[in-house]
Amino acid sequence: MTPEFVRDEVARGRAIIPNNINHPESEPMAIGRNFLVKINANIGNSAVASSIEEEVEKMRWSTLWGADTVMDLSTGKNIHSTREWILRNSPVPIGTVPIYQALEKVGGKAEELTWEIYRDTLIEQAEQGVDYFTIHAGVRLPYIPMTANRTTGIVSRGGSIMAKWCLAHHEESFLYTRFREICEIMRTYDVAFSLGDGLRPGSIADANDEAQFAELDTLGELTKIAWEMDCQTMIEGPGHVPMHLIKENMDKQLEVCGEAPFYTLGPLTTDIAPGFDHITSAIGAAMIGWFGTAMLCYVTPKEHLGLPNKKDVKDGVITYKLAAHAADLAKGHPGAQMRDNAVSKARFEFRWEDQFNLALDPIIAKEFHDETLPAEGAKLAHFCSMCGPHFCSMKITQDVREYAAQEGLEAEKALAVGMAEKAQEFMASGAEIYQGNAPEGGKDHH
Amino acid sequence: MKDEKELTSDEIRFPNSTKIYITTNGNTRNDAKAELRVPFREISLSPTRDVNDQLEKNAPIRVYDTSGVWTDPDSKFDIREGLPGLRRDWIVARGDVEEYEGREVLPQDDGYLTKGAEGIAARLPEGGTQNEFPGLKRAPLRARSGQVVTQMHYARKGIITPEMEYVAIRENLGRKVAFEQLQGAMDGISDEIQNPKSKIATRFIISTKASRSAHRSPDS
Repeated sequence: MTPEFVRDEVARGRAIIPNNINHPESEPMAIGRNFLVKINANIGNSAVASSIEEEVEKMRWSTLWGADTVMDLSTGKNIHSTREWILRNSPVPIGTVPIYQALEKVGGKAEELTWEIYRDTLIEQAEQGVDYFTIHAGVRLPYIPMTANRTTGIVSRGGSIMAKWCLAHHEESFLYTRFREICEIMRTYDVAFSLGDGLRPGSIADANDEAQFAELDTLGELTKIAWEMDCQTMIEGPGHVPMHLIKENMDKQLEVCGEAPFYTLGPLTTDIAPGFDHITSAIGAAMIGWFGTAMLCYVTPKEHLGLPNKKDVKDGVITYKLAAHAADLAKGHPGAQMRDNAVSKARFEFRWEDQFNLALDPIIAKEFHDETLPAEGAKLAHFCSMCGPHFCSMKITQDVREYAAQEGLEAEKALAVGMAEKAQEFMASGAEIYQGNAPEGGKDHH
Repeated sequence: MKDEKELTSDEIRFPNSTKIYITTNGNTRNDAKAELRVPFREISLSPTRDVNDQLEKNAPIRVYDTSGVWTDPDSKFDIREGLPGLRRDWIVARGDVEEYEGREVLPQDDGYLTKGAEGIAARLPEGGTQNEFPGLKRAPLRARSGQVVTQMHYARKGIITPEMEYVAIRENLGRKVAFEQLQGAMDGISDEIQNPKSKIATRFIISTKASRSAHRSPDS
């Protein structure tokens, strides 16, 4: 990766560097499919208040665990002040959905929104330094009826606000009709577009439907306008999509939007696991990341259920880090596998502390190990409580090698001899598969 | 041990990890000639003990670091003052921006028109908002009339900005040629662990055509 390559990808629109000139505190990063897959964490207060210090801490917390960008989705009071505190303290790009704040300015009544209030909000946030704006300019009046027969209708907050406005006025969305004027603002501060998917499916039943793809076509059309005006642009994607329909999303997006970076929310691959939607969605995120999605928006275990707490934020970030990393590996990103190899080597050599320290979450890795073998000595031991000392496959392999070295045997022969010895030992010890202090439930080894 | 829910960012320490910086140190490649200092986290490892009880060193593993200077033990920052403006000089040096007074902050910017919150606005001093950030002492910047200040605009003019070079260093984990370095590191890993089939895919994506074929998806 050379600086020239970065420049060419940005020039081509295949990558963005979301760096508002009023957010000099941020450390430059790129979002594009020829770069490491990035992840975003959402924070934000709601009408049920949380304090400004808490929001700043949430931002720091998510970047500590690896969030590449953070979206401030505050909707309650103190929106402007909260954002100011977050921006001044954030080393990563900050994204927002300006329509949320515009809606607060008109007392929550979507039909009272105007272009003037929205425009003023864009400038307000651009001056503060927001690095990318989600703008649902693809929710056009004629697409709204297409959602009538959906199982879950319109699930995007921004999408539903604009749909309500369009219907109340029976007019085309001002985000669409004023798009060039929006571009003018964006390029005055270098705010990147994140063209919102206001009509994304909110359920497996609605995945890849007419409304979703009609909107995507419009996002492609808008991308061309943005690029004409030198505006950096990425495209938001779903949502809820079963595994077999994921690739179509990526293929269509690349084709329709000229390879502008794709930024997806998951997608959740099933709807049956509320409480575990960081996992249902990380499955889809890993897949779509592999296919070429540039940034994955995290989902926490509280998705659909409530506002995430700090543990939920961390669980969401770690889950998405592993999905993004799995995608980097599959894409063959140079360097991605070094960390895997280091963990594997440490694991094989029973360097427990190294194995913990290399983990995405060293604290949990150590805690889980120590739950059953808390003694310091156990971290030198050549086994863990999963199989016990006699049936650790890695220990046996090492014993075999050692035996071979001592006896001067060839490895294959040593294996046969060694296994026969182990078999005797196994029979002698009562032929119980699981030995010693292995905990219940932790026994289904590969 | 303290419940994890209660730990703050300041209390979390990644064990055996060090914040490191890769600096361009006179070899910068951006057109502005800005010297860069790109952060990473390095995890140090213990040595391998072989069958003959000989110790063999394991090189530290460097990872991408998004946590900012908050995790730099040599820096001390206060959220009431904010972080230093790393990019400020690069932006100003391009000569295409200007400071201006900016838009006046209004009570409704903080959502005090929301149902149930009207009372807060009434209690505030004229024009003031609650919890104003005390640290910002600069005026906002905007593009000068007729100028475009996007990274895309610069890229299309053929300019390599400091931001672009910073990204390249970051993505390479601070190595000049990530791929070569990787090969070197992998040579040190015993063959038994390294499945030859899973050796790093040829080269990361360079052109569009190559990128499509590099995505080894289940149906291709």
